[in-house]
Amino acid sequence: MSAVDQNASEFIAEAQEVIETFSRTLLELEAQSRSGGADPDLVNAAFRAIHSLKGLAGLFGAQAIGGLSHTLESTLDSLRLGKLALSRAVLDVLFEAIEVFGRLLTPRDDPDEPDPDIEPILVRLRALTEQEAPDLPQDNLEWVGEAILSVLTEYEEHRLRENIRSGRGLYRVHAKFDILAIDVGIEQLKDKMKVYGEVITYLPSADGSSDDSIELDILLGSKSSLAELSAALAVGDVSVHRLAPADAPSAITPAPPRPSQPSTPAQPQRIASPTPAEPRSTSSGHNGHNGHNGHNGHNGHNGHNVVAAPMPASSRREPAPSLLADDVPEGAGVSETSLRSLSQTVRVDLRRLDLLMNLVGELGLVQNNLAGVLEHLRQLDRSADVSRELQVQIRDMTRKLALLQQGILDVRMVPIGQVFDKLARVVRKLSRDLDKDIRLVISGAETVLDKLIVEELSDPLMHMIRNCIDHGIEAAPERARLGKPPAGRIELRAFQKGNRVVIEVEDDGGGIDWLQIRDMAVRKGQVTPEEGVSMAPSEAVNLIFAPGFSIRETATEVSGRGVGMDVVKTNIAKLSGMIDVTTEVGKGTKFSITLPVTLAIIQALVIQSAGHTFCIPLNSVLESIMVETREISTIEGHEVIILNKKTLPLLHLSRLFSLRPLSRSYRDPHRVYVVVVGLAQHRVGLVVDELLGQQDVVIKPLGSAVRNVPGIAGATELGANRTVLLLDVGRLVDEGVRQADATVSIGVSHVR
Amino acid sequence: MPIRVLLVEDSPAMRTFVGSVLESAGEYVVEEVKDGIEALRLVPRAEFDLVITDINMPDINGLELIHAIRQHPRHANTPLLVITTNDRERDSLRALKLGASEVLTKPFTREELLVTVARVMEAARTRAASPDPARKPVRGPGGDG
Repeated sequence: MSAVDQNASEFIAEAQEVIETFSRTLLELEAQSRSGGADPDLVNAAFRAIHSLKGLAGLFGAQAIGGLSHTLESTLDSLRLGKLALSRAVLDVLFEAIEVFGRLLTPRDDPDEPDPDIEPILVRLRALTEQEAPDLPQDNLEWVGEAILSVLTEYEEHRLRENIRSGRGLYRVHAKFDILAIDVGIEQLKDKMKVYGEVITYLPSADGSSDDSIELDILLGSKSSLAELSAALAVGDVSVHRLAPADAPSAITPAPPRPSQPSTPAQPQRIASPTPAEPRSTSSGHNGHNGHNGHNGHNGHNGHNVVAAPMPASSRREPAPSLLADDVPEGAGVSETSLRSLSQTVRVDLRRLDLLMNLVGELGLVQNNLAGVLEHLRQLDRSADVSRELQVQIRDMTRKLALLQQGILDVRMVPIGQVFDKLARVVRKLSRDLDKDIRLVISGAETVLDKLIVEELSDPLMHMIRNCIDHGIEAAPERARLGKPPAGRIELRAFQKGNRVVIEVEDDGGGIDWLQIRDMAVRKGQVTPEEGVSMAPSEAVNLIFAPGFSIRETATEVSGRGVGMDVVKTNIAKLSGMIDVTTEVGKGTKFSITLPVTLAIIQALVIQSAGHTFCIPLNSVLESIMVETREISTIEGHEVIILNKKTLPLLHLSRLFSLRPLSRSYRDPHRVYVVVVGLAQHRVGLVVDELLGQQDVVIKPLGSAVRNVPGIAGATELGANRTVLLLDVGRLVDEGVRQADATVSIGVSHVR
Repeated sequence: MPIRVLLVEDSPAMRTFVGSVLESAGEYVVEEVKDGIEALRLVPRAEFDLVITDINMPDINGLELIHAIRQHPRHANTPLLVITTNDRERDSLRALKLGASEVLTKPFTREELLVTVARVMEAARTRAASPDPARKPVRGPGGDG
């Protein structure tokens, strides 16, 4: 039973990965098709992604996913074979298919619930295939040689024809690779060749391969001349040969006279076969099978060639301006690699990593104990040598333990790009629905975060993007009136800042009018008119994070009424993160989310209250101060101090958790320590007895007894097997703010 | 003596499936590779009693691989099973023309795979026992079965 479950979840994880790749590929294709032509390699990558998904679904008996991928595969096959043009309508259906896959891959609570209905999307996909262009009259390719033609797949043959139709020359690049270094060699050669044209296929050379080398004939379609290609590629064991019909040897690019050294004179030139016509120099030269039938129009002037927007050679050289330009620098190669990388990935259940992490934490304790033993030893004079040696070993172990811990943490890290891809689809769909032209610019997609955090980020970011499009970016006429570019712009950035990750969502829309916000809050009674008058602009803007606040008076279809920036804030806070907003009316709005890189292990401030030890996540500690008790004032039964001219509510941990003093430790009755903690824009001071120091702690889930105690987030172990509770700063801040609301109107403090 | 299988398949899931089905059947030892390049590395130096290959693979496709394998004297008669999807009929026919023994279309069940592989191996044994005069005499494959 559990084996079945495991299989199913493995399938879902792998299928999701394929769909993510597919989605990325489609987005890039869309960008390319907008700016000219789609890269055939990319279309092929999309086909291959779904092809492999179909295989997966077949293996796991996932019928709905199998059925959808089967039909989708046919559509993509038509696209890559040039029978179907990559129009906007086609892209719409393909994106729709991604959404259906998403629904199919979402685990359902009730196992008996039937799969979502895939028939509508199947109908739409099939309708596309019916628009297929009729087969074109095929050019005669016999001059290429039977030995080559007979081993081409249908797709490769199609690409060969497309290359010839678009007026490219056909070249055979012969290369010999050392059997041990072929992986690297072939990739390097591939990169070089891609600059000059399209690699159609790789043929194992019939003659040369031996035990320690492999010879390949690579079929390359290129607009460059033989001389140019030879200069660029023919280095070492690589030679370039031109394939052309016998009666038109130099119709497209005349082979240059041998002595000329066109572009890079220093390169050793190996124009292997400078005779003008050389159809016989294919690997099939010996079989005498080459029909020299060049009379058919092979050079692309037959007027039938625009079916699937064949990529012009020029646009392949410079990367197409892409929506995701920052993210995916070099088109085709990237998605091909990412597909292939599947085989080099191991999927690990996060719980197993947690287990390892706990072990590392426990090893850390052992290490502490060893240090204690060492101290003991030191005090015995006779064993000085032994203790020195032990010290060396312990230091070594400490270093390696830190590395091990970091290594395990690294395994949990995934690029934020996974979420950005999803958002790119949302932007695409919403901008359609609302008829707003919007450019999404992504940077830092490779920034890594803990897998758990990345997953939890998806909803808040989705909300924010929706708000940007719905409320932020103006409609086209309005933008024109304001002299803004017609297309709205949303930038999605991620970057590492110290040990935290910052994610920014910035739009060039209308900005947030703080006066409007303030007045609305007053009207709704969320703030009193007096508070309103004394409110600073940044405080007013921060009201958008207040529960139930909405910028629009009326609900819209996209984001509803007040899509709930309060929910966004709460979700971010749950991840020990903070959210800030800066805005300028007429210019735009920027939200910045600051997050820890991981939640599995955190730096904590260890404190003591009434003899009990607690940990506070260091990332929410703003400062620790010593406060004279006379500075504390009481307002309606709640203690506050004034810090930086602001009222700071205080919380006594001992009172909050009803702690009775464990030991009668000495306490200065005139002073207390206050740890100022903050989440988003709220600040609360925790009154504690002692600050014991900072420590890395591994968070462990709580047992059922204390799971529901408010204010406790988890447990951890400190040295000597002491279990220590970790404070839930979010809850404590809420508690403090509630008290403060009941007493003084602190409103919201400054934006950090 | 176990039957040595070279499995060439770029989809990790399919590779694992075919590999584990055959290995768990007991009489097969499977060498799994993910593309044509890796296969070409092995072809001249390793002994195989059976090759199973996909057709649609990056870089070197299955047809090219079949051609190359058949060129190699040691593998001119090695049984060769193609696993591919049903839509690619043209490619399947080409594979057969190039010397594939049989084509098995995806998706297939464990039983279909085992029966087909057994049939391919049996056909090869029969052929080895009564050499087909139409075929070029070549050095036989590694073992007799």
